[in-house]
Amino acid sequence: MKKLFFLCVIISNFIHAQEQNSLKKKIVSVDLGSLRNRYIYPKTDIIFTSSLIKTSAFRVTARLRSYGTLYFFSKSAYDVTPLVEYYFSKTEKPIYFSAGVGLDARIRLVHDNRSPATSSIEPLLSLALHGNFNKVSYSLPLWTRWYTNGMSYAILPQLNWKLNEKNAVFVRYEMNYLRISNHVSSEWSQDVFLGFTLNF
Amino acid sequence: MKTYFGLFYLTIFIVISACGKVPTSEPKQPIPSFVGDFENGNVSSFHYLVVDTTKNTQIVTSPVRKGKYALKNRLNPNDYVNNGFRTELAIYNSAFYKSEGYYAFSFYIDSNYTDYAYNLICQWQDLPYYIQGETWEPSPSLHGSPPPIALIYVNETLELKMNDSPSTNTKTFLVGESLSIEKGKWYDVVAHIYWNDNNTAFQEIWINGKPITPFNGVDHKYYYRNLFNRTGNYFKFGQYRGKDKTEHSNIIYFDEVNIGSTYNEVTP
Repeated sequence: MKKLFFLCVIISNFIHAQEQNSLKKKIVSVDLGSLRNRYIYPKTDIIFTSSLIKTSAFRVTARLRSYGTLYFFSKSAYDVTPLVEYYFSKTEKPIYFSAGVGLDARIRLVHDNRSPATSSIEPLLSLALHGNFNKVSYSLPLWTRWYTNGMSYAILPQLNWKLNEKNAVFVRYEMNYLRISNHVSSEWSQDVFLGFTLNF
Repeated sequence: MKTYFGLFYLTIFIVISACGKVPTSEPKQPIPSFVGDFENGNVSSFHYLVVDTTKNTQIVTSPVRKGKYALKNRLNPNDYVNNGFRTELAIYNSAFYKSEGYYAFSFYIDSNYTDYAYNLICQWQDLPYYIQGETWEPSPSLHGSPPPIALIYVNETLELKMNDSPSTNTKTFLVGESLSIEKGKWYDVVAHIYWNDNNTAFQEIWINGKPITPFNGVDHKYYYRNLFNRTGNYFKFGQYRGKDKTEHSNIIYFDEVNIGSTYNEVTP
């Protein structure tokens, strides 16, 4: 009986997800990040995701990350991350995949001789697992970025709770593994973000 | 078609040439030696955290620990700089992730020093994690918290204090025991520190050649994390009272402020 119940839930979710296919909608999300490693540090993201472009399975995402502020305007640092992804499904399902390439531009505005920070642009490869249910949806992207002296890997699981057809709130955890080549050094870093999305 | 290939290769070239380094600090960068003996008659080799260098940081010929000159450091009740009552001189690029250094200075509490409340005479304070987007303003919360390591003159004693949390000011703790300090007498401080963000970090500190960090069964290295991020810390000395205004003008003399790679290189 229990198995039948769960099967009904999954099927109803699947049908509902197909009806509410957000892959055909544009998404704007805004989030605030605060918990960083061992201390609080504010970060904010504004992310725009296009709908599937015409009849193709491609979607474009652009993320603007501001550092040191909860008000999006920063005098210190921004990251700009455009990404083009191919979706292996044109409809939302409990499990589907995407793969993409992009750039991660780090813009550092600090003019301080104590700071070694410099602006740069790194290539980015994204592989992501997505899923959609009645009230919740999730995504689990894995990002790889290349640098002149090493690589980084990031996992960015995000869980969305749908408030209605257009709006959702979400929590996203970001864990980065930064590795300087030849095993000279590596570092784990983490952030937690809370935000909301608007589909249109 | 050739145009597309050209654009593709141009994009690849731009991306490769614009690539930066992994945003984590490279370990074991050498700490530059520093000599701050005031024998040039000024404090120009330091970064100032003082209201007025002509009043707060004067070069004097007496008392002197070594050579001809020393620094007379005066903190007045209203000397408020960078969110705190202070008169400090700083040395940046002096403590890097997974690097090891020796730091020394000599201090002399003026005979007329009257206050009993805490006064940080030196500290190794955090820096923003610049390469991960942080800056001084708006400050990460760690800059509102006590430094990872500080030497504090309080109630006519000297205390070595560390901080366990970059987010609060309630997690400081005393390392070893308080050392009684006489006014009107020079004391030589040497600190041997290995910087890390885990508990392989250590600090080993001597006053007048005697260790003040507790014996661990092998030596006097006190193992405890001393970085909250991998930028490293910076060294500053003088007088710092946080948000608590001092009651009187207090004077402490400093001399032989040195940074190097061995004990003998830095000790006066």
